[in-house]
Amino acid sequence: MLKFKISVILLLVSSLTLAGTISGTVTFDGKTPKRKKLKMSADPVCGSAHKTPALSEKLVVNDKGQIKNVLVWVKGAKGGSASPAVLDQNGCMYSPHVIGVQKGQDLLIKNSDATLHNIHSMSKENSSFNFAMPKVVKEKKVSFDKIEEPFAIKCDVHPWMKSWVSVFDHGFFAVTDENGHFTIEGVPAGEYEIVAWQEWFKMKGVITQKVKVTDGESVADFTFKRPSKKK
Amino acid sequence: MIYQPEKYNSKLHAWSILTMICTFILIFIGGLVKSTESGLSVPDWPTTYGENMFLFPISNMVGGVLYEHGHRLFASLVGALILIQTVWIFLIDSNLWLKRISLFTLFTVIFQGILGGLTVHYLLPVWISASHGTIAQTTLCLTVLLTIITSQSWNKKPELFLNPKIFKIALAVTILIWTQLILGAIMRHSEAGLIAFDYPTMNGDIIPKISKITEYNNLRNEFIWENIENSDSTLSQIDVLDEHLEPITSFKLLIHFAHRTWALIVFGFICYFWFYIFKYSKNNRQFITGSSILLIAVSLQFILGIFTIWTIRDILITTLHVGNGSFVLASSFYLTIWSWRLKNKN
Repeated sequence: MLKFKISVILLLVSSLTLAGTISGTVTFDGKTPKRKKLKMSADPVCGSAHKTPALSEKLVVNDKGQIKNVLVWVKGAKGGSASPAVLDQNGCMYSPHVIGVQKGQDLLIKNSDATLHNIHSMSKENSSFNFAMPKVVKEKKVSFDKIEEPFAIKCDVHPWMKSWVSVFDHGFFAVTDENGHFTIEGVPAGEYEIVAWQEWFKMKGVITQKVKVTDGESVADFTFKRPSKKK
Repeated sequence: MIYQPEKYNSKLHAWSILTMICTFILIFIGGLVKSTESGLSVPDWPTTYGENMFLFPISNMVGGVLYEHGHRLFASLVGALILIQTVWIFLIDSNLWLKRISLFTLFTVIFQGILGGLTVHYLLPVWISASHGTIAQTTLCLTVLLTIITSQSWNKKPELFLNPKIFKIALAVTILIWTQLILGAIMRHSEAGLIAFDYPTMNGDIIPKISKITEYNNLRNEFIWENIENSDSTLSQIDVLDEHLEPITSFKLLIHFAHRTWALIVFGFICYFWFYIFKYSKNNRQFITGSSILLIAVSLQFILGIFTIWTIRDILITTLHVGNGSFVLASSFYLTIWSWRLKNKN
């Protein structure tokens, strides 16, 4: 009986302290749309910042069909802390294109360009804002009080400039790299729903899957399918 | 009385014409601001990026700032023209009505400026933006009115008189056009202009049904995917379409349908107005010409409206639709005022 009690306690303690990693790859199924060239002629500073024409980041798929800039998060998770969030305006493009932040966390917005920008948040749950960043203002900080699904932060001076921000009450989220790969570390053991969001497919097109996290690595791969033509 | 034959002042009349033309140009520039979605590219008001708007460097007028800041500068010019016109009228004229109208025009242009500031401050709420668009048309009508009243012909004793019914029809046409411009402004500022890419049908239906919104959204999404986002599209407006491609709502469906339907009513009334003048006032060259111009302008407006949809909100075509809409209203208003003047020998 004592052995049983000890094993139960050990199991409980281990489940509370065990943490795993969720990783995976996001791919695209179907003919990959061609990335559009961004027309930056409206501001000479923007055009001259790129040696080759800048391309739209709305859907970035590599030769292997892996998608960059997909936001993946653990639904309903608690705890965790995200790394510092920085959104840079460089070459009249946002870097990163998609970013997750925690509620109350500072988002540092930088202007690395020798031109002016306005920072216009299209948030609905959080108060939307629009402020100026003349070329002499290099940094500003903002934060968000409420959790929110991905919303756009855009520049109305340069209409091609758009980034996506999502606000979480935990730190378990990641954005895929150029190989469509993501890693979320330190997720407490348990069963979770993992959500993958891509700009083109928006919230209506998110993909979810259940993942059981134990000590070690759990894998969650996602595939976004190109909508089929109506027959 | 509003007539005063002895008080015609050619310079004041010329100033009024200039003010009216500049107001019309201002509406066109305002239309460009919306068509290019540049309204928030200057986040502060009345300053521009923290600087006095009149001292803001021209070299910084790039991208959306060119349209928004250009609109603010031109609006200041129109405000100054109207202010001078009002002071001028108060200094040289004793006519109470003329003073009242000029003062009211000054009030509307100031109010219009404040609305412009508010819409920037509150991030373009539909009702403030639509009011800004509508009051602009009203200000244009007032500048037309001042141009007419300060003209020599207005202050002469008329030689020809019109059937009084013409005034009633002209007034009805003006009210219908003004209503259509309000519907258009609400539709435009609630991003409901592209809820369908087909005309005369709307997502395949002549009369859309709210119960089919999900079906319409699916149909529309396929079109967006195939023809706008997933193509080697050369649409110059591609970067400013995002909000216009958001899903259809019942409000958007209704306001868009109302604008399309009301256009037919306006067109029908203007045709009737034109026929009526040809039948009962053949000898009045001013009205034959005026109503013909109105008919041509509204026909052009119809075509521009259709092409706004077919070209997926091409910036120039959409803005011409806004500008020509103002011209249609101003023409009809001109004929209404003159038909009032000429309706009765007494």
